[in-house]
Amino acid sequence: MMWFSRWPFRRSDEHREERLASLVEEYGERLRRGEKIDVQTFSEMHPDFARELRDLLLAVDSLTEYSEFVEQDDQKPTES
Amino acid sequence: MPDRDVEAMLRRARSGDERALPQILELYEKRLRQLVLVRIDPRLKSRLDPQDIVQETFLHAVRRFPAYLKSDNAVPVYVWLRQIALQRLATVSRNHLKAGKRTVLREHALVVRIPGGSVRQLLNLIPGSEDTGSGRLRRQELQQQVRTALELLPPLDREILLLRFMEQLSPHELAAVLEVKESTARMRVLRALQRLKDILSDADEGQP
Repeated sequence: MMWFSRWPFRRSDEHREERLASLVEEYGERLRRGEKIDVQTFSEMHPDFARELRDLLLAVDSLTEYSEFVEQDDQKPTES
Repeated sequence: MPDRDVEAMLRRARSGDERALPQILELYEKRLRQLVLVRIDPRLKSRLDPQDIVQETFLHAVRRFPAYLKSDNAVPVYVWLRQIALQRLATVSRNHLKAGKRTVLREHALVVRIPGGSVRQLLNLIPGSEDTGSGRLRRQELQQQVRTALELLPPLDREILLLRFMEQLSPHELAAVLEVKESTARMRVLRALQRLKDILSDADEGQP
């Protein structure tokens, strides 16, 4: 019954994850609206999550950049 | 595009304004094009013009729009357009692959992968910080790392990240596509992103 003994911690872990998910969503939405956000600054505004949030947001940035790369790549003239 | 603007256009369409649908389609044209670019079979990239798929999507959307407006539990309008675009892409791709199977497969075998760069470099990359030739090359290498990391993810995680960050679906649209509550969709995005981050970090530790 390991999970039961850890129950109070599970609740706080879940709450933390939900908060982290909300922060990732907020960042993603602001990016989607075309806002330029500094990952470091945004992460430091939430010190409880700072390191983990920073790494997640950098992964978001890398996906966004990859998406732009796919788009730009399509606009290059095709070599014959 | 704020949802309320689209809602206003839909209300106008329901009251008979024929200018509403062209405006809605124009709003989503860029996103649909991006969807095709993300979803197209790499073997067909040089053969299919994404804009053709978008135009076909528009033609089908015009025909089906009255039914969409009458539907009682319609999905968000972009999700509806996206479904049409994916159907068109699947049909056209199937026809192309059937028609030129041998040639396409031979071309695909010639694709050369760009060698990987350091993932630490990726994680430290500041967008727009370099515009030199070597900077551009390095960025291309890093894009390849992201692509490889995406390929290593479980299919559902990859799908969620594509939907959210490459197709740029809003949380509301994502929830509609996944047919789950928004809070559930949000947690799935987090889990998928955590796995992607782990793959990128593992690859980074494996670098010399």
